[in-house]
Parts: sequence; C-alpha cells; structure tokens
Amino acid sequence: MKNISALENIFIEIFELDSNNDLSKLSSANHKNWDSMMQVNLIVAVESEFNISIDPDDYEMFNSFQNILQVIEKY
Amino acid sequence: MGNKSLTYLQALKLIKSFSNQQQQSHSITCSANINPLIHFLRANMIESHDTDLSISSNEFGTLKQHLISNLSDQKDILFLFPWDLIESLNWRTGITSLDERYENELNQNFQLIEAQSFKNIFYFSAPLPPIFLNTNQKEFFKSKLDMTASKLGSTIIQDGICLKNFISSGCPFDNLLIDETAKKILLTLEHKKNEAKKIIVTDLDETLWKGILGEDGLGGISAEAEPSSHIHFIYQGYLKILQERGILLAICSKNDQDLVEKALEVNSFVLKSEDFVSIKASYERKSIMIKELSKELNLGLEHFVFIDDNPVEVNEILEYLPEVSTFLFPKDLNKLNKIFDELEVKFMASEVTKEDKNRTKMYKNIPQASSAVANKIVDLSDYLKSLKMKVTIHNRSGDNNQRAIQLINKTNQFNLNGIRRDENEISEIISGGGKLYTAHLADKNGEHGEVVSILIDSTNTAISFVMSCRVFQRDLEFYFLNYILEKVTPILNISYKSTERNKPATMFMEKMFNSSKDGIYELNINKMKAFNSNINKIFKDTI
Repeated sequence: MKNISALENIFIEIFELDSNNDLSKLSSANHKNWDSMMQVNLIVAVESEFNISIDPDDYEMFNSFQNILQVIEKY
Repeated sequence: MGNKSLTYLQALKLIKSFSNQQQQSHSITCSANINPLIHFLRANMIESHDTDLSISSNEFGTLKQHLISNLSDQKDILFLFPWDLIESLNWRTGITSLDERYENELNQNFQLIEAQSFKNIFYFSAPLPPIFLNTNQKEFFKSKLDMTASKLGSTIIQDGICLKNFISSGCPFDNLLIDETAKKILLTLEHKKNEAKKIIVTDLDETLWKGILGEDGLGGISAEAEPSSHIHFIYQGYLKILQERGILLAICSKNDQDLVEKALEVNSFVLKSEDFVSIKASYERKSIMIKELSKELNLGLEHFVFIDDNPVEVNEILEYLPEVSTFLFPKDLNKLNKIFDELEVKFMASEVTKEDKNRTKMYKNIPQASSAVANKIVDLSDYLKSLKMKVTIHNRSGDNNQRAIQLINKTNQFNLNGIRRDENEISEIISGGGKLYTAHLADKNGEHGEVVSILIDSTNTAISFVMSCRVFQRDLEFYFLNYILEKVTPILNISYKSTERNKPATMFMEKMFNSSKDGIYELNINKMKAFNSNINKIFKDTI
C-alpha cells in the first residue's frame, strides 16, 4: 500500500496529473507524454524516492504503472 | 544551502510551488544528458536563495560541435567528463584500445576549451574504462586528466558518477548522489561569485610607499624597515606573498607611467615592476583604469580588490564599480592587519596550483590590445555633484600666505610652468600690483585644505598656477579660474611651460586651449563660460 501511494505521488508530479485520475491503468501505450525522456525521469524519481538502484534489466519494465510497481516490490 | 538531501519528487514540488518571479539564468554546455540534474539545481537554488534558475543547455551529444563551431554564445558553464578530453575513454562507445595519438587529442581539446574562456568549468572525474596496461598507468592517466582540467581552471568533482545511468540514459549522475552533486555545483558558483578574488589593484603614493612621487621625486619615496615607512614595507611584503601564491598584482595610480617605472627600478623595494601584471599610471579616473584592466586581463570585476589611501578614490570605485572590493589604506598597522585578515578570507577561496604561481607571467603574455586610455570622454558631473564639494576662495595677497607659497614651491604635476618662487620674490610681485589667491576645498569626506594657488602679476598674467595632486579630476581648476575671471580680473593671461613632470598641467592646457606649446595664453570670461557652463552646479557655495 505504501509503495502504491508513493508511486502515485511520483506519477502525479512527473506527468502533472491530479490525484483524481485512476493512475493504476497508466502505461506508455495510453499516455502521450510517456516517452524515453519521461522514462528516464521515472527511473530517477523511483531510485531517489525509494532509495534503491534499479537493475538495468528492469528498465524495460518502466512502461506501465503496474509493471513499475512490480519492479519496486522486488527491492 | 540546506544540508538535508532532496529527493527528486521534493525537487519537482519545490519548483512547481515556487511563485516568486526571481530568476537567474545560466547556460550549461556539456556532452551528457543533464535533465534530471537541472531539476535538482533549480530546487536547491529555490530552497536556499528563493530564486529559480533558468538553465539552457545544448542538445545531448553535441559538445564537440559546440566547441568547434563556437556555437555557444554564452560562455557560462561547461561540464567536462574524461571522454570529452580523450574519446577512447567513453564507456558508451565500448572498450577500445587507447589511441596512440591521445596526447595530441588531449592538447587539441585543451586548447579548444581554453580558447572559449568559460566562466565556470566543472570536471567530473568519472571512472576510466579498463584499457590500461596496469594500475600505475591508469592512475597516471587519471591524474593527467585531473591536471588538464585544473589547468583549465575547473572545479573537480570526484564522486557522484553512475556508469549504469550513463549507459542507459546518457545522464551520468548517480540518482542517490545527484542532489549532493547539484549542491556542490551551486556552492562553487556562489563561492566564485562572492569570494574568489584574484587580483589586488593598489595605489602608489602613501599606499605602496610613503611620499608622493610626483612631488617628492624618485628619492623622496620610501618603503623601508624604518619607523616612518614601516607600514608600507609590511604592505609590500604581504603583496609579494600573495603574488607568490598566484594572486595578481596591479598598480593604478595618478602619476606618470615612466616615472613610476623608474621609481620601481631605482628604489630597492620588496616589489619590483615584474611582480605586477599591469602598471596603470595616468591621470585618468581610477574607475576607468580598472575597467580597462578588467578588459585587458579578461577578468571580471568581481575578482578585483582595490586599495587606496584616498577616500575619494575609494568612494569613486564603490560608486562606479560596486563589484570591486575596496579598502582604505590605513595609517595604523593594527588597522592594516585587520585588512590582511579580511583579504586572507577573500583569497583563500581558491586553492593554489602550480599554474597559479605562474599566473603573473601568463597574464603578462596577453596582448595589450587597448592601452590607450587617454581622451576618453566620460561625464562625471553626477559623481562630482555627489561629492558635495565646497570651495572657499582666499585672497592671500596680504598676510597668511604660507600655504599659498608652499604650494607654488612644492607642486610639480599640476604646475603650469614649474617655476619656483621664494617669499621675497612673491612679496615684490604683490607690492608691484600683483595678487595671490588660493582655494580651500572640503567635501562630504572631509577637509582637503588649501589646494590651489595662483599668483597674478600686475599685467594680469598668472605667472604661477598650481593645484595639489590630491584633488585632481574634480574640475576644481576650472571652477577656480571661473571665479578669478568673474571676481578678480575679466582677462587672465596664463603662462605655460612644459616641464619633465607637469603632464597634468599639459592636459589642462590641451583641454582649455587645444594646445600645449610653451607660451602665454589669454583667457576671458566668455571663453570660460563656453568651455564649461555647468561648472557652478558641481560646487556648493564660495565665500
């Protein structure tokens, strides 16, 4: 639960969304601003917010809210 | 700068909620992707200074193009990585053996960067790829690159690089240390702006030495280990130590250039002329001389310290060049020691390298493109008005004329003909129908005493006209002559003869009569009014 709300915060800031949006379904396929630059920003945010260093193997998982959540759970 | 570490989200939130309009602009040139870092730079600046940063940067991977084509018009900040200096050190292009011509490459890149004179360079001493024969060679390389960077004047940042990030996104910063890196960069920028002084500009007369060169002559100045000039002896010794530590020294004095050079040559002072990166001796405003110097050396005014015993000069710099740190040279060694303490802090900011120690030589090789300071027209009337000068004219034709006579016999520089006259001669001239007048000057800084003296003979010829060097470039001579023409004689002949030391008088003649040939020149009230109609506005009242 803690991870979900922290990740939601990241999404709200990075994609400049408001908290009423359903964030859990967001993915690179359905958000036009989700490009490679955003992906870098998401990685920076996740690493710095959760104080972890993401394995480069997991970078490709940074394509949807659910997948990122899964990655975070691993650390 | 706050000590607590910001996370990326906190940084974004700070930027988003910042409502103040205050903004500082910077441009960063570099080969990497620095987008995440920019957020941290902005957030930290907002947190510590309530100011946002507007940072522009070149496209990812276009550093070389920028350097070669000189594209970056704003030479502000440069970020450098080892692979910017030697390409085979770039992890992104894979591990390739070191090109044998790496020395050439390093030199070329060094020159390319040096030629652009960036204001701030940060060198990130990133890990080098495993392409070396052994650890010794690797260490050697690392220090060679560090040294090259420090020769360029870089701030070297050792930690905070993450190869993983660099490979995956082109952003080489470790996301857990990126806030710290941003704080280091901002601290350095701030430090450089405020503290790092690089040059001391010193006055000569009654500052670098005791005495007034133009008046007392080559033998009349001193800075020895004797009670009378000891403070100047100590001051020179301190400047010498600073110079050895890499601080530049320069002279800015209202004097004749050749006389100053001679004075430094014939007196066995602690400081010799080769210790100074530049000697500016002229009768130009000191604020103009210092500006010239800043241009010649390509060194921002914020790096300048100015020391002078004359409060008027110090105030002029304070007013016109507020970036310069100014000090009034005191008469008391206890007070001078306090100044030393303050200077120590200002100069400690930068670590001294071997290169620093040769800086004076290095700067001396900069071509002196613009040494002509003469004939510059600057409107100083606002400044002169702000001095709130008050002139009192005295008729000294009767008694109480000691100072008037002393001035005529002591003054060399602003002396229209250099002729000395003793008391008897002056008395005779006065009793034959001549007149002797002086001007006393005071301003918001205090009293200057009687500083102008004129001796007019029975034919209305000013056979002596002198003004003390303490009050040059205040237009006092014009005001005084205007008074004489209005109140004493409507036509005044001026006797002028050039001497070895009266350049200021020559400049006066050129201004007033467009000529400096020896002879008698006629001045009348109309000519004076046409020359300067505003003169009475600059000075307060007369008595």
